[in-house]
Amino acid sequence: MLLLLANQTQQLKPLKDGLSFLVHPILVSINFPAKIQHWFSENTTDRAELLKQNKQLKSEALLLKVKLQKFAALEQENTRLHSLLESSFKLGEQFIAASLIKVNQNPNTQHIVIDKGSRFNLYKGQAALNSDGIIGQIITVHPLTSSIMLITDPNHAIPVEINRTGLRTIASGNGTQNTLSLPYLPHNADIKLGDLLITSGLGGVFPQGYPVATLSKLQPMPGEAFIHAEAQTVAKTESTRNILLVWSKQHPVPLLPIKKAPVATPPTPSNAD
Amino acid sequence: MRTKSSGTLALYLSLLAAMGLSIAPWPNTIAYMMPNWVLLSLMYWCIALPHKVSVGTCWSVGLLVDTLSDSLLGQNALIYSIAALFAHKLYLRMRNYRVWQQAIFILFFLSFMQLLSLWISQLANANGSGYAHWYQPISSAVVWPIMFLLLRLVRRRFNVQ
Repeated sequence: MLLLLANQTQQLKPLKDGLSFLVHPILVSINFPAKIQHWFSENTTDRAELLKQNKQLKSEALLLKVKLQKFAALEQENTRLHSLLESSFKLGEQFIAASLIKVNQNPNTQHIVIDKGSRFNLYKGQAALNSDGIIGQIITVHPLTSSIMLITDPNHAIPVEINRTGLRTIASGNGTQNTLSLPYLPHNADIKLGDLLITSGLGGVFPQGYPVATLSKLQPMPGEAFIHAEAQTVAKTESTRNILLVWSKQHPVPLLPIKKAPVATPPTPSNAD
Repeated sequence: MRTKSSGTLALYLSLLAAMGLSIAPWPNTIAYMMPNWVLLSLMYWCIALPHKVSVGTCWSVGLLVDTLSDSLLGQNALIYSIAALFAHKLYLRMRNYRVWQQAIFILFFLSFMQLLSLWISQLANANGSGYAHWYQPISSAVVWPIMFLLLRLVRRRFNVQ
């Protein structure tokens, strides 16, 4: 009972943090082979391949920049329209990049560990995504590391909406890799295979508008109130190495003034003290 | 003749290695089959050197494992303490058993510990349960003879006492 109580309160947080410092060397040493492998493959790529990669990345950057030009105009227009409607609207969030520590803490849960923690102002419940879409949210924060519960964990549910129709529902993990189930879709819902699910922003944990999954299976269940629907996550979690954490609070938390922090986009440098 | 401190160091290094192994990044299907490295090595040290590895040691190691595996703080500490308690009660008998007999004892003992662990985690959050949880005691019992010989080698080589 005491164990459970301690989990609910914050009393033992300092002790946990201290212990996490103690075990950090073990985490680092377990991650070491993966790091070596990464380093090795980076250093032994031949020149032609690097050049090819470079070219590819450049063209990709060009494409994205062109898209971004349009986004600026769209953003303007969107804020103008929203102000006409007199509704509050927020664009732009703050990100930080982190990389994965390759450990398997507990085979019963789908958690991953990243190499950034409360030292970088990460907080419990922060949304984590990779270049494709949402992958999960932070559940425990230690000073040097934090662990992320993937959206495919059986204990996780994420509020989503269907991009095409705006229909809101909840997608919960079912323990299978890269698969979510949508348990609360009625039979007459306007859905079809291939529909993109995006975060609806309800619940306040996940920021609105990020892709989560695409609908992959629809199976009407006769005699039951809800349709049996499954979706494949957009972000493939098993190949993820770099993870972005997003601050979705109304006022972005200022980043710690750590020099070597690989900050992706600090949009409010004046906030940093 | 090696000094006493190097032996102690070897003991703690073996525990650290076991902790590292327990969070090695295996895919989940293999991770289910992984034996409980830390508990096995703790059991060995408790049986071999009960004056050196106390219930308190096991408790502190359990706390570290809790932090490593991100489970409830105290879950593994409790289990390791109980294991240490039994090992301390039974070490004289255990030493007289053959290795395979010890392995059978380990099988039943770890099954019970796994049950306790499941109870605790079920109370904390409803995790899906299945047969997969019971692979661990079996694999632990299979690995026990190897573990036993290996750690005895370590104990004799580094003269841990």
